[in-house]
Amino acid sequence: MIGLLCGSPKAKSSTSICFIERLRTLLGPEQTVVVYPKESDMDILNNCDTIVVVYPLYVDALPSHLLQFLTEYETRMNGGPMRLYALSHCGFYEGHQCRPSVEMLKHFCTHAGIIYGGAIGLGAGMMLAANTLPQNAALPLTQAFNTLAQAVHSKLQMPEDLYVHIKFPRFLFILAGNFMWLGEAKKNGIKKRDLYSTK
Amino acid sequence: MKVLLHDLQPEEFKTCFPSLPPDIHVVGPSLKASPHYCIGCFGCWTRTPGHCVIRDGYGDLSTLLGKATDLIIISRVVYGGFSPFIKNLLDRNIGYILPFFRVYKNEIHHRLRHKTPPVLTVAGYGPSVSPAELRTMGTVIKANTLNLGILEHHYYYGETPDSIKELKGVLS
Repeated sequence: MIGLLCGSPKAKSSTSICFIERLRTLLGPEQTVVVYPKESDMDILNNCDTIVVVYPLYVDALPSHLLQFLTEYETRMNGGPMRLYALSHCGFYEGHQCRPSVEMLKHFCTHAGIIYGGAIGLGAGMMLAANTLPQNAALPLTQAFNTLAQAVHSKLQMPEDLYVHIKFPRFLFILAGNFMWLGEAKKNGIKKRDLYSTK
Repeated sequence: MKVLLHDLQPEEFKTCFPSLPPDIHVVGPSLKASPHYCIGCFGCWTRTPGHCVIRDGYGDLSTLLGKATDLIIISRVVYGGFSPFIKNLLDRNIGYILPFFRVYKNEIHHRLRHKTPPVLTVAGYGPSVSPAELRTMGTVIKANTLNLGILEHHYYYGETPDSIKELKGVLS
């Protein structure tokens, strides 16, 4: 059984769960189980031979609740052979900004006696998950995603971790991102100048 | 003013650091309640700019850090990164920076809310931390400095917090 661990605190309304649903489709729903970083799901994970951790990058590392969960899970593992893969996604353009968090997961594997299977780091992951990108722009992310899914399916080691970004001009990505934040603030009744508050 | 974030229990902190400079703001674990984790709502950017929407006393560091000369972090090294408690403080206080993007050192990072960044000193501690984990910790800290706009940082490690000599100098 493959445990798909959703590492976003937004859980069922997250970008991570969008990726998990895609993985479930590729891997077969009957072969997978979706789990969350909570104590009651530890027993489910213990019945898996593979874990795929899907998480957003928070301050250059793992989200704190996921980190907390891993430290507790490390002491509750049943010792069966297990392999871990990771899908890290960030709001930046560059997927390689996910690298330090993946390194942390490798150290977790060492501590927990888990085989590390490989990882992908996706820049602008939310744009892929939300299907807002033209197919060509999303191609590097889609290819990395499929590489990960194949490795998980065949329980093989990925030849290398993949850090990718979209085929989309960076200055347009910045403009689109900045525009989005202004729109979100407006929805909350916050004016542009108030976003810069230092008080 | 200096801001000190640590993950030591109150008694242990008192034992390790019995005297502190007067102009220091200390944030550590409380016996009363643990901080809630970040819920990923981005309200600290678009609803209550600079402040976390969870009102438990752990999400208002932005204003303090905007005035601070030094940010000192004492953290157990966990998988080559900060401990869950310290990481939670960082996650809960991304209001220190702005949501908007900029290109900095040929990567996309966030624009800065405050003009003058503090000097960052990180003291990692813990037994049996491997050289590879210490290298990862250095990578995480370097990435943090890029995203927080910090221009000067120092990173030390010792098996226990009070074994890090450099920390005593920073906290004198």
